[in-house]
Amino acid sequence: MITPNKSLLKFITAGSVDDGKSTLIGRLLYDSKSVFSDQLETLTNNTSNDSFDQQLNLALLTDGLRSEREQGITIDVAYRYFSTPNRKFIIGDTPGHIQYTRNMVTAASNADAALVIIDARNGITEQALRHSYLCSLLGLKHIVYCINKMDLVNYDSLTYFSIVKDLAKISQKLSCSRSFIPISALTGEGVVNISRRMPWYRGHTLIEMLNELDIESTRNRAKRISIQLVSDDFIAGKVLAGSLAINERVTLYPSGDSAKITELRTSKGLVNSVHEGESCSLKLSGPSILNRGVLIAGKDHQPRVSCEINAVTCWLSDDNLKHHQNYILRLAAFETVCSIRKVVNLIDITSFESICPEDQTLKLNDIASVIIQVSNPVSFDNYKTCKSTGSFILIDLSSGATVGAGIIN
Amino acid sequence: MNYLDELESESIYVLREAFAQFENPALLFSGGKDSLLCYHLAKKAFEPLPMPFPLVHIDTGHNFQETLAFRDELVRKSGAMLIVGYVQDSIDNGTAIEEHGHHASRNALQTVTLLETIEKHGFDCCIGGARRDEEKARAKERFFSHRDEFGQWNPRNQRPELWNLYNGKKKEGEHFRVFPISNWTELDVWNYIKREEIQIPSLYISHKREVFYRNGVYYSNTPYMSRNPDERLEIKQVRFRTIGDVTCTGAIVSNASNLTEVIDEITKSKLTERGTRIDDKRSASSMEDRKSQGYF
Repeated sequence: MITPNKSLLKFITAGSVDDGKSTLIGRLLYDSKSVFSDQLETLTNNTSNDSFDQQLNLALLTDGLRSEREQGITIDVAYRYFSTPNRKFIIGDTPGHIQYTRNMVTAASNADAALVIIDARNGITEQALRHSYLCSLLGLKHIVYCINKMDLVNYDSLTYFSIVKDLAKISQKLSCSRSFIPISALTGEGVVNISRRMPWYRGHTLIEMLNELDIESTRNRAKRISIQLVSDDFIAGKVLAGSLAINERVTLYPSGDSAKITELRTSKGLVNSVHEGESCSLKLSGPSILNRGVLIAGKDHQPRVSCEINAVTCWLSDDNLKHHQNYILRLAAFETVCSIRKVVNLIDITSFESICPEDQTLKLNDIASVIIQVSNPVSFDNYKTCKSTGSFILIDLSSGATVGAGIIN
Repeated sequence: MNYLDELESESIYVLREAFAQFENPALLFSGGKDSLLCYHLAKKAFEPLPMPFPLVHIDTGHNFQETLAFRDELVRKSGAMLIVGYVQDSIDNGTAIEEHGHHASRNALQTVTLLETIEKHGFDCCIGGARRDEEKARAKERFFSHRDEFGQWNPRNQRPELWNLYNGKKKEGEHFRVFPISNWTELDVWNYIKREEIQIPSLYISHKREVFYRNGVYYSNTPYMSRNPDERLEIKQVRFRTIGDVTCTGAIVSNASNLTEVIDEITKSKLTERGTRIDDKRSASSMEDRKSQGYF
């Protein structure tokens, strides 16, 4: 029986193509009993060149599209769900190939934690480093390094500790908390059940770790509500940070007008206060002009307002960034026309180092520090202060496609 | 917030984004539990205003009477606007061709009628109750899912969807499908229905029904399906886990007579919800193919 008070943890799985990501997810679903017998039937119907020892191919549980099954790789992010008695988990299974970095970034933007999977035989790969960097950039709280395929190195502790030592050193610069765990997704050792073959490992199983990762949002002194829509006197929005209460004085951005909250409503009806993560509607006193995109802020910790933004941008489109071309910048519900004034430097996401740009363009999967000029003043925060007011997407004016994403420093 | 509050808040946010970003959005409504959940969340998203979306039902003509009666009662009580697109009209106009034979179903034909209904009413956004946990092609869906001018889904070139920034920009003639309950599982839906005391069609609760057995599933006795001589009619105590058209939805033997028992039964079940859907059993990529063509 499911307890309705359980919490929600979103995590992604990342790593190189053959490190066994999909197998690990299959294992988590299978061992936590989220796989149903008719899905197993489909898996045995599916033709696969590589079904280990006539066993069930756990990876086929997660590779959804026909082209993916044919090529045996994951192209797009697939979302999977499983539960333990105290948590509901949403997994974003992300593609390993470098040409799908944008999908990895997409999945990471909504995750609390990442499992970075490493093949014990090969040790640390460039892809694992890239993914670690991206997780850190996107503000994930935790990275769990899963040293996988321990069965293929005879569950050797020296192999494991040598990889962990290198990883600990390399990942020092990252902002995430880091943990390490030896597993075999194929045999299930260390995933849900304690491994008898690795008595030298005294830590948690993977599922225990996932159950215990701390996801409480750090006390945020900034208070933010983004207005999504205004229809007559119905004003609806989402609390992006902090808590706000009836009779609280607030400032509206970018105008800087003052107002007072006179009514708050959530799905529970009329309430006295609203909290981070809640969708709400509200009424304000004061002669203020309200429309979609307005940011409501509490009196302390005001957002910045500017026509210039310094940000780290990831380019998501096959069409290169064109210098001086106009794009739409969307930040929370606010939209304005913008252009990239300067590509300051590119970031090598393997060495985490800055490179001087050869030109002022950006290609698919490039990550770069840029200066963006917007046509109307925009209010924003540092990404670390508030993810939702410190991040934006860039939209192509003619196709409407999402071509870039940015994080404000 | 617990996980149901988080899911609810996310869905309300997505529904409000759909209202804010599109000119003429509609809510796809079959009377099944997922579309009822979407309707309920849409009502909450705009309270105290009335629910702003018209309900669109794509009707194969092969319905469970209980679902139609439930739909009409909900429309009568709520005053919501109901638009029905009839598959029969598409067949009569020659745009959809009826399948024949033993396994004939109008399920796939709904795509034609749906796209015709979208065009006729100029909808630029259809909100649907698809969930990522239902099926592997749906596991790759976005909240805001772009459809080209032919109504087609291109799974290999989907827009990246970062943070909660949903991008509904489109060119003339294109439209969007919006899936507010993407992150809900079947159990989440039932736990929420129970918590919120949402009314559901009686088909979801155990009842006596005249059925016949085919491919591991009990089908309702209906004039729209032909039976083999060995497919005998029998009376069984059953309920439906998912409700579609009567020709593609099977029942399960069940004594679950209230929501607590339904939740308990699903928790223990070894079958997926869509295991009773014959439309998904045609091949491993049935849903992917149908979605690419413009299905829900």
